[in-house]
Amino acid sequence: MNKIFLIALLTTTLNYAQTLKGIITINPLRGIGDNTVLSEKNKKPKYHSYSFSKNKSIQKLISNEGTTIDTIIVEHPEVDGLTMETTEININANKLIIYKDYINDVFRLEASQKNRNLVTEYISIKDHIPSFNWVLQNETQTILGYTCKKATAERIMGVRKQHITAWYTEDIPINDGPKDFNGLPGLILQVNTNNNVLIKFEKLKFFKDTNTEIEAPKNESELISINGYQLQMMNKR
Amino acid sequence: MLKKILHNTVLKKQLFCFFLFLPNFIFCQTKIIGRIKDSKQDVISGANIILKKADTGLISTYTTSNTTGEFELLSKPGSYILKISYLGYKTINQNINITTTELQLDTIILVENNTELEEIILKAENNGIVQKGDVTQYKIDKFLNGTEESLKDIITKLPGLGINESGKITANGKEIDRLLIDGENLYKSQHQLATENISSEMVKNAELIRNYKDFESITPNSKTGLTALNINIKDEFKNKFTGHVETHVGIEDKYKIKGALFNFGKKVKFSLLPNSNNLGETTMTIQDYYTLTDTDAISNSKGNSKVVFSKLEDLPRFLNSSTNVASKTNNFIALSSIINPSEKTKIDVYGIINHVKQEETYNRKLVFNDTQVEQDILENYNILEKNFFGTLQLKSIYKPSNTSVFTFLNVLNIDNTDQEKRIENTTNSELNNVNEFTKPKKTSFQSNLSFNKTISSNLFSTGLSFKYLETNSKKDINATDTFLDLNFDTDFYTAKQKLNTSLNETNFNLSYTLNYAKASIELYNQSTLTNSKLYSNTNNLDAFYNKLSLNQLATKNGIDFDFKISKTLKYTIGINYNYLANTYNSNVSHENFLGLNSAIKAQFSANNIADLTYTYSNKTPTIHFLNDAFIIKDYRTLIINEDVLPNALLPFHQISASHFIFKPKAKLSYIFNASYTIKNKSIGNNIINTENVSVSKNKIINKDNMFSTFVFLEKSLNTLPLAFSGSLSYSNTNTDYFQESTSFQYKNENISSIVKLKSNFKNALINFDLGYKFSKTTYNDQDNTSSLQISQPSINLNGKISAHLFWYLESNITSYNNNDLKRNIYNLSPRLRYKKAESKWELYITGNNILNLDNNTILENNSSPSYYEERTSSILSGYILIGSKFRI
Repeated sequence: MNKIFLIALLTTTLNYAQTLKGIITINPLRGIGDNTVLSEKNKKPKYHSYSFSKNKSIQKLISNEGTTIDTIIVEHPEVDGLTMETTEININANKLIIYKDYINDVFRLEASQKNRNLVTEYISIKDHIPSFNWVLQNETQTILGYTCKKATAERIMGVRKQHITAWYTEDIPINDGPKDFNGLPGLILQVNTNNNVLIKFEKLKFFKDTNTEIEAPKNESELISINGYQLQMMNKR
Repeated sequence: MLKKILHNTVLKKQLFCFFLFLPNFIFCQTKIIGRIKDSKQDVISGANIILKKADTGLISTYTTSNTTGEFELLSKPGSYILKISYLGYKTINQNINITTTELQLDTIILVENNTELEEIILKAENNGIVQKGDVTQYKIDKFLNGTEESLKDIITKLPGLGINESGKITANGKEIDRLLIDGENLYKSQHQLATENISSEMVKNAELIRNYKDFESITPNSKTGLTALNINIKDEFKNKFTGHVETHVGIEDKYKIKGALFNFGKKVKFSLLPNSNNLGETTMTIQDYYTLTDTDAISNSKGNSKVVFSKLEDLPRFLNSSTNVASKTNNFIALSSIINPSEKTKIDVYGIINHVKQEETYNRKLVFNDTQVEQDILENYNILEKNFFGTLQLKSIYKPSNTSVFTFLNVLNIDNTDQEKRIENTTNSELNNVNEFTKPKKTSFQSNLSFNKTISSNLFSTGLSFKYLETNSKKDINATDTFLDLNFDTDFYTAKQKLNTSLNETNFNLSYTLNYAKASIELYNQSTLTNSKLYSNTNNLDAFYNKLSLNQLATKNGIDFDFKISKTLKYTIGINYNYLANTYNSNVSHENFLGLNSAIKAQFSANNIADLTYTYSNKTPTIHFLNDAFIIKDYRTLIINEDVLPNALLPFHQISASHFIFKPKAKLSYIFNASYTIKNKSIGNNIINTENVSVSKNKIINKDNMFSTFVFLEKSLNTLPLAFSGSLSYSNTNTDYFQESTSFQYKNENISSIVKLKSNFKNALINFDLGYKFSKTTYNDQDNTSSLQISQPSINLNGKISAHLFWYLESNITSYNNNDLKRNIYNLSPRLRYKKAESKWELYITGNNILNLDNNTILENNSSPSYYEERTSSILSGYILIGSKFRI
């Protein structure tokens, strides 16, 4: 009994760890495709919480706008009294969790959103942590008081090529970043993809605690791989 | 398979340091293998491993440690820095040289870093202060209320920062080492140039950096001990010419014209600041004069101990008398530019031209505490002085890599004074009208070349400097009656003195610093060859003829040890051996002595530091103390050497302690320092007074002690926008002096205190700043005590009348109180400023000291050994000005 107690005592003191918590904002800059003007609703930044502890990280959507369909009635420009109806659909996830476990190389994504027909769809992804072919650049800028260095990468997302510009800081030795981005020699504080979306850490706070355990989210639908998901999306079109 | 065997051997011989040579034909790159553990021997997985090129600092490759704490990197041969970091642990920077095809590193142990990360709090809310390691960042918007005009108004509102009486910026009560504008040291120690000319709207934010490393610094030691304040300029004021012109005119021909032209570019930073006024505002203080002329301080070498300022060296009077003058006209221009033509070079040009014309009038009563001569002397002085001061500094830095740097510095100083003193002297009711004309011309040139290089983690530094200093001074005195007990052939009482001194100095220094994890050792050598000459002649009299020459070779060899006793404690001890060879008027002598220094420094956190230092060294007299014939100081003072020898060693001990705490969250700062200097042998005076002349003889005295202490406290409330600050300082000097060759003691005590309460309401109509200043100076000698007490309550108010109209009111009452006289001076200075948000114009109505528009007088107490003085001096009259400012 004493031995067990001793072991329990030892393990708790050995588990010295530092936890990082932060807020990530995702700011859409332009619409995708030719329509470069965003609607007011879509311009709103989306807020995510972020935690990193013991080589695991989790990012969760806080703001919950959900999918909206607004009907806009436009007066006919030439005929008085004649109106036209147009709808604006904003598809927004109401749940989004991204989990990365660097110890076991596990990437998990849990999301749910209402589609155009306002039927909830679930997405559950399990895969290896994605890797990026980062090219380190010489540029620096200060973000949140940290000196950040620039790195760029490209990848294929479905049928589109995505140009990624990331800013990471060596001062926070975590090889993680927002969303699925990772693999730079320091925490990625800001990511810009195709100049469409700006993903940025707004707040960071360090805690010295041993209690935070980051656990993988439970899947609400069948687990598929990233490629499998992309194939699914392409087949839908 | 091979890898597995290898790995097992590694495990067995983990404690040994060894390198393996294994030919690897498949990859032409070296494989670096390592393992990371914490101090409890647990593996650390997910640690960040970065391989940087040693010369450029660019990342060559990087990886993370795996679940067993191991990592592998591939790299080309060369010298690199391996940076290993993990959240919550101290970062390790290790130099490695890759020559072999496989490099097996020892197990790397990371140590927990509890203290520093606690301080990393980003975006401290509603506080405006962010502490990140050694950097304190101020989000200035949080502290301002819109009435600020210049950088000065911003700095005084930031917690922990302030501006002292001589215009220098202080951080937690201590003067900062560097003021940076957009990262460049544009104004050197002339902080007031920046604080008064950079307007508040140009400032983006401010950051206080501890352990600042400048461009020329290549030291691998991260604790430089330097404090820097960096002022970042808003982007809209960058990469173009900006500035302003300010003109003010008032009654009685009062004027002030002031301008500023800046260009803060990426590669070139430029600033031109002209200022011309007859209001008595000087842009140069006595402290500036010392730092600009003391070239040892500029070149930053380990100062060889010398007694520098002597009675013979006349400082221009305008430096001492800030407002105690009847009139003062000042023309000033400062040019500064820092050019970075490439990442490897920096050129720094700094020039100042200052011209002052001033008139002083005062009368004084001298009472000699001499038993043999019973006399009272009344004097009326009128002194006209014109001074031209010019300095030009040119510094070039070439840094071919991160490990070596060349610095070349040239400094030219010109200081010409033209002084006319008219004195009505009444001694025992006999009148003597004396005119004294003094024209000292000083020219100095210094050139300094230095080279520093880091060799792995060690620092090698060498420097060669040359200095030339020439002073030619002419003094003509004529009077209506005899003076100085001179023998005058005719009824024309005239004395003409020529006094020339020159100094040639060549200095070579060499040092090598070895850095280890917990200690560093510095070995240094310094050799200085000095040749100084002094010539004086008055009316071709033998008793006034000096022709001296002193050649001195001084070498100093020493060693300094630095130990880290624990995480917080650091101990430094140093010893040096000094050898001096003097040739004085062809007499040769040799001396040698040991010097000691030791310090203990406790750094509890970045903002809680205490230290205690002790220094022992010896000073040697300069040629200015050695004149064996008389030199005329003024119409009733002569100087001569009594028993000071050129090879005299003047030992001194200095003990100082300091402690400061700054809590950004609580906006509390506290500073304490104390220092005690003990000189058991020093150069003092033996004063012999007769009816017409005081002879001041340079004599070795046995006591010259000084003690000073200072406590400062500042607290801003978090709930209300109120800040309280208070300081108390005390100093005490205790010196031996001789009168008629009999030893006496002279004691000078000063106690002063400032208490302030400041408000900073954001949208209120009115903000206030209440203060109370008090100082008391007491002089004591064998039979006299004199004292002067100055107290000054003050109320400063400022506010907004409308969105564009601001008002300021400064008011204070100064009361002077000496042994038997009391005088109050009321000061009221109102000011109005009109500024429209988008407008380029700003308008002012300025009143300064409007209750004293006529000349007024104040009381001073300038007692010194052997006499007691009561002085009434004229001060500048007040004025009313209207002015405008146009922004470029």
